[in-house]
Amino acid sequence: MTVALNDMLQKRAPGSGMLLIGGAIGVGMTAEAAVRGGADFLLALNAGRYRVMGAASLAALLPLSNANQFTDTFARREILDRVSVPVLFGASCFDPATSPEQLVQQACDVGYQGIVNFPSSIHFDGRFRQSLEEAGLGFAREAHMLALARRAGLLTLGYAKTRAEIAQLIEAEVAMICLNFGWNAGGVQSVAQSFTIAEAADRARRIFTSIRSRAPETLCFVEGGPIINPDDMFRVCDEARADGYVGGSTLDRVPLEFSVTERTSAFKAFGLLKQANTAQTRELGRTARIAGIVGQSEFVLAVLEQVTRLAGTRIPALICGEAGLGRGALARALHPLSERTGPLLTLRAANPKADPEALLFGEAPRRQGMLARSGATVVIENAEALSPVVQARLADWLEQDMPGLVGSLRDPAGPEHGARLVLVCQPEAGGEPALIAALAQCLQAGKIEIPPLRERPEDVPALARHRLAVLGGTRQISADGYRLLLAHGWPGNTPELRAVIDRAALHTEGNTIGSVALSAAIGHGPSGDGADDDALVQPLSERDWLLDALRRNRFRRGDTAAYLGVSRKTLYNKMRRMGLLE
Amino acid sequence: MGNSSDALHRKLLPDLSISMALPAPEPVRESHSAQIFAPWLAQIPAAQRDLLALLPVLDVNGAVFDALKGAHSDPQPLARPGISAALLCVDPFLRVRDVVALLASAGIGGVANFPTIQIIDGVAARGFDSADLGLRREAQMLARFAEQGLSVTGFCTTAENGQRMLDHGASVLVVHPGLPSADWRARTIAARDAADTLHALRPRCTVPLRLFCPDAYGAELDPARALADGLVHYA
Repeated sequence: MTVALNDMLQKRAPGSGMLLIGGAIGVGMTAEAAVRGGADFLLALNAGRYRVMGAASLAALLPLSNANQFTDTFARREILDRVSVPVLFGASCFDPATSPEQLVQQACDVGYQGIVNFPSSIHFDGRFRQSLEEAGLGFAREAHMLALARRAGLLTLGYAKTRAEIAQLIEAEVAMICLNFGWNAGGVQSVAQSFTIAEAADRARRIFTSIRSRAPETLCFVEGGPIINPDDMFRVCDEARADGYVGGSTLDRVPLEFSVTERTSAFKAFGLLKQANTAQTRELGRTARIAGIVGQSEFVLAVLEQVTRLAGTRIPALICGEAGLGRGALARALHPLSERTGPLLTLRAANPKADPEALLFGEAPRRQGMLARSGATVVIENAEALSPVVQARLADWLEQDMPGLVGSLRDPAGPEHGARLVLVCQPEAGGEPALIAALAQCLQAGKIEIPPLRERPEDVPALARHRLAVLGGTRQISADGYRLLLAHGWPGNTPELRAVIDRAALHTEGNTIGSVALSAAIGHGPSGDGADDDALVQPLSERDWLLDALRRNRFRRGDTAAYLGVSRKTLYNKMRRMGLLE
Repeated sequence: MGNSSDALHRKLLPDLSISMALPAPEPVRESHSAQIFAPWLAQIPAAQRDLLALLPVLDVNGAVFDALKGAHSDPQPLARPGISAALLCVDPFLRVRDVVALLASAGIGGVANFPTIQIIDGVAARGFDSADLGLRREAQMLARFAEQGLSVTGFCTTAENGQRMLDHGASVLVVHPGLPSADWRARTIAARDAADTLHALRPRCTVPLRLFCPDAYGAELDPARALADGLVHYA
């Protein structure tokens, strides 16, 4: 028994429920992709090559080239020694100038792990098939080649359609028999079918029962015909108790046709939308730069859009959130974004030495209040510290700040030149509103709520990378480092994250900041609540971390890899190791 | 139509040979040697060429192109007007523009659907048709060559297929009796079918109607030979 076959038999342990999958391919890209997807062995077939060249699989039977030379050329260049699974050479016995002995010797010399009879006489019938058999170039020659290959220690797979052909394969003691249902349906180049799924399943069941009664060691596969997706395969394999499935068109042509069409259409649509989106994208980018907003979450995009819209108006704004989320910077950014002509005035309401009421409304007749300054933006930080009386006056001022009102509160040139009010406050705590109802009502339209970092961990990698960029150099954070950052609760929000990155960067000598340095840096940070301590002591397992990331990105591997800051290959390897591919 | 066909029948045309060698360019004259140029025949044993010509053991069209690339006829255009190139017309990668340019550069004025996909029968033939690698593609390709001014020699295995060849611009029709079987009874049946096809096509055919005589056929083809305007055989 060959080593390759032994390996496969171990995978196909009784009760494992695992089906063996063979990928019938013709180009390096699909070979590698099939193996990444879990293919147990590959069949290098000229049909696979013709498919990726844009022709139907049936072109494999036409005199377009010498099939054996054609297949061997691309298999050597693109597949052999590049994949970790056995590769079977698709050998044609049609050429009288090349004997089965020569074919087997060639497969051994080149380094194929196995051989398969393709293109095969099974795809012909009628007078043509009769002529093939009369000429000695028919199925008996193929079975003979497979028998020689088995004796030479090669893994053997025999394609067959009829009971007579299968009998010859059993006689030749091939390791794997693949019951072919004809050329595949599905996709643009679909071929008319002789079988329905139910008929295919029934036929396979009866034939495999017969095979197992005579050669119980033989692995039984199905291929082609009406099987065009995993559901079809499962139905046939389950009913027939097949050991596996060989996919050709279903692994490359059909999915390629759909995905290329879909992706191209998406790019095309994007191009059409680009003109409309360009101005908006530019505006959002400007907002992000001026406001110092970093992140990739849906929340960040929503805030950018909201701030950009607010900047074009004089609607009063209320920015709510915990400390350390850049609320003040965002509030102040509204001034340059609005291109207002007056000054940017900031009032820290929590300053015990300040008299907010006097500063905002003035002290007649000597001093003009902030709200009376033409074209000004008035930012009130810690607005929750304002007394209810001042909050009520502010609500009155906002109520009266309507076209038609003139006097000390408004510039006579028009309402658009009056002051703009922006309040920054803490979120509601324990059900207690931060502001009185009347003021909160006036600010409702321009309210921006910034969730804490722990509620949008998808922004953590972007913020960390941004901080590293600010620090300069080419330092990167390792995958396990990102895992640690994502597991932390960040009670101190962005300043805490910045401090951790700074400390870890300082204490890392190489170019990659790993989990050890980050863990140490987090340990020096501000003490969080109990939940955060727990997170530090017991970070997410790697499996949970992966699952969490996959869920966040709707199991799209490309997005998940980008989110985690790892390559798709690394992500795939981790998923496979954690048993997340099954 | 009947009179015209009878006239053709009475005056048996010279045989048309299928040759693997390209004759040298010759001055344009009224009568010239007619030939189907099939250089790929050199790659397969004569005893099995009818079968192997339709199997993935060689590149039929590639062999024609390679041969023609070294066969420029400059400065005399169409120096080989009676020659037709034997092409696999169902080749999914065949590009009419390239073929026409290459044939023109070699002074060749015609094409033939030889080998023809019509030889493949049964379920396999339905598969080829379904994948657009069958008779429909063959006929359409011949029509495109005809549109480009090339003369088209159309091989057919049935009267229905022959009509399709005529409809797609064939200027010569060749009835193919199919692959010669080792069984004389099967050959006899095939020969009788070929005669029936010739008979069915005769009334509707205004172009020369020939019969292809593969080497393995013998006297069983005689009735069909008698019905044809001329024969086609390997050189």
